[in-house]
Amino acid sequence: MTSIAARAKEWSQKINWLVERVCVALLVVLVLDVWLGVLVRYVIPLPLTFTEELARYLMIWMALLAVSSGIAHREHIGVEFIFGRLPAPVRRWLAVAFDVIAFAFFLALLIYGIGFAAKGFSRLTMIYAIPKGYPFMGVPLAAGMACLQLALIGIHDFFAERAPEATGATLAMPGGE
Amino acid sequence: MGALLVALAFFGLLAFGMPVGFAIGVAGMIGILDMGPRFMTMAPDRVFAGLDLFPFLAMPFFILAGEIMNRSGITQGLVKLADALVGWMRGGMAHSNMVASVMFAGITGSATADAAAFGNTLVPAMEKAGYTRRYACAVTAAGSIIGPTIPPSTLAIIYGSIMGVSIAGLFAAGILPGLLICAICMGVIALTARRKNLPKGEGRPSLCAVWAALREGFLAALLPVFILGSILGGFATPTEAAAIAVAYALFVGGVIYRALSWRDLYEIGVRTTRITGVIFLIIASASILGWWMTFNRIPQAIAEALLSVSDNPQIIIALIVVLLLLIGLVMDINATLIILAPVLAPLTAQIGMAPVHAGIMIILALNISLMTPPVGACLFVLASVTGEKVEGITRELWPFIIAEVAILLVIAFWSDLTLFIPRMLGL
Repeated sequence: MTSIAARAKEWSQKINWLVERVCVALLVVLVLDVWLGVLVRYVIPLPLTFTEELARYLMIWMALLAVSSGIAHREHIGVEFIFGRLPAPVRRWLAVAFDVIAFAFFLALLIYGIGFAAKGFSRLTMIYAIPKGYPFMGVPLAAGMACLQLALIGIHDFFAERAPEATGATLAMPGGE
Repeated sequence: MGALLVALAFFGLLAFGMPVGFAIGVAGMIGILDMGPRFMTMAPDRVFAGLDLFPFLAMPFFILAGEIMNRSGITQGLVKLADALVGWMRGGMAHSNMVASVMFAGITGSATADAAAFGNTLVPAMEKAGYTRRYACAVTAAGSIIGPTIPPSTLAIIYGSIMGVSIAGLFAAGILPGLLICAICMGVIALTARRKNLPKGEGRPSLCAVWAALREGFLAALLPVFILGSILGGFATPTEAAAIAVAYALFVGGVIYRALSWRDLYEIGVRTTRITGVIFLIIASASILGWWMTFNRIPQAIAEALLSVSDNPQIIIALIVVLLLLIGLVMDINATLIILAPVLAPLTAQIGMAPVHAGIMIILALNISLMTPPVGACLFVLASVTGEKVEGITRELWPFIIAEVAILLVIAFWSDLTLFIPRMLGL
């Protein structure tokens, strides 16, 4: 049984390895894009108008994709006051129940997100006039990745030898608070 | 029926420990489902629209700049500088903990990040110097909320973006409350130092020692001055200032200190994206729930309920403060801000509060709830970093909480004090 848990964890980390790299690549492009925006506003007056729009969409893609990474590392913060005081078997069932509920939430976002993105292809963005479907695709894609990670983490929680100690991070969360 | 289901799901899931971003999204989704499946397309729409705000870009950039500064060890200079300035007094390390919180506040703008960083470094150092661990944790928790009060502040960015209030104005208005909190906490330390027999520092440092510390901390201390100067002076938007801050941190950490390897940069990138993901999921989920609430006129119902108690502005302000402190006890403050700001902002406008004044009052109240037992996030961070029990920290924390709530009330009822700096800068 523990081998199933180990296998699920292994796959979760493999997928996350790729997602992390994509997220960092998006962050790098985002930083360069905003720097370019600052540069053309203050230093070199070039007529580059796309930087602001691109930055917003890069940010959304990066942040939404990173949601699945947060699931893989259990870094989404929660109030663990009661959870941490529950007996191990209850903690295990509760953690699995949360994984299933969250899975359903992201599945709904995935399903309705596909329709949302498809509709977006008939609308154009304000500045650069590209179909809005491209940026919108970030929502179903990220929801799909989150589903995948939740399924793997759920399997891990169910079969692992030790019941989970926490459902998410209780540790440092810069920026948020 | 729908409202009851949403409330049950929301509070039930949160209380039992489901991550905040999921619990809020699930509650919002249940509400939308209850309205009818045809409304379900609103969920992805709100996720996207809730994040599609240009000022939000400042958040990942400030997080990134803070991470670079911390990783390259530049911020250590600030701790030494704080110690040189106030460390010589009785309870000197507690005082310098507070002053360092103010200096860090200008870089990271995060309470839990400060709590974690200080919990790892200053708390053990204070213990070694003869302070009890619980007292060291209490001082750190009390100082940690200075981070999100003094700019750059994530909460100010979120509030300004969603309510259309000047972020520069909120930044300017946050400076004085942050300094006041530091001052009153230092007052509490000074008043209790003799009774608690807190250790004394090594005596007044020489001018040379202060100068040396100043030189060491100079490059780190320059960043907040630079960020604030450019935003408050009207030269740059918060997003641009944040992007420039990243460039500055990279230059100082990578070129001057030579403390950043490619591996470090990659890890900083991973951490930044993950932290951004966690915050943005909460924002996105709160947008779903917020849409459901607005559609069902719940904000108006809450506002009417508050106004039905009294139409006296002072009482309404007091009610808002109590409401925020109570909700902040059990809820993530970003989510509380997104859900409640559209309810409270019109209410404060109705009783004649200036938007910036109302914003700072709301932000400060939520910040204080970060360190209030039993579930304040900073307490948990400190407890897990240092191994001290939350109950133990709480025992030493009460005087600080009372002092900070007193500052909150002063800020809430004395608008001229809050608006003094923004007015001076013409914001």
